[in-house]
Amino acid sequence: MKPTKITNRIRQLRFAAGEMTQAELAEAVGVTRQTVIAIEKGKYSPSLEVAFKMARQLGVPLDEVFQYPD
Amino acid sequence: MTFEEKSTWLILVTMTLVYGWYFATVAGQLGGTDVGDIDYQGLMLTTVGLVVALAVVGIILITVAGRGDDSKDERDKTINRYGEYIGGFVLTAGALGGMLLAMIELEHFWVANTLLAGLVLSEIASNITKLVLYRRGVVSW
Repeated sequence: MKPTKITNRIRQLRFAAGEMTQAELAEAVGVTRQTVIAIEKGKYSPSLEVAFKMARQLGVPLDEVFQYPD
Repeated sequence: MTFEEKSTWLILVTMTLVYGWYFATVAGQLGGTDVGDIDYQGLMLTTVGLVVALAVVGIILITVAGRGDDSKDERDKTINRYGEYIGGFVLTAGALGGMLLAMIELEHFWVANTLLAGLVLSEIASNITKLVLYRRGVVSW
């Protein structure tokens, strides 16, 4: 499986959002905690819907959560 | 580990052990007995029933241990789809093998066991694929 070039700042953003835990973010978005862990590590690319839900929960626009290098 | 990953382990271990025992038992009779005389039907049906029963009990235990959390999300579904895709190839090979053996009119023993082997190996391949993806990740972007 090819690694993704997409990176994310979920971990930092969780701490910035009142030290939100992986479990809290997972519940708010409707996925399992293991899926949040996999997304943070770049081991799973979420659907666009889950990506938007994460951004909304973290209180930032989508491109602050996920980045694609130039 | 999610409920789905635990279930995948359960099915893999159960099928490997039960069908490993079945094929070892049947293969042990091949040496001195004519295949037409091997009484495999009862044993085959028993193992199929045993796998189903063990899987049901195992799933109940996993659910109880996880305090009823049997949640499944899009990552589980994606991994499941990849696993079933790989398993499908093995299942097709087994079905074609069984068909070929039937066409050349080999003993029913060989046809039935080739079809069963195809089913078992497809499940094993499918579940190993899923476990690899759970560990190594699945990136589709």
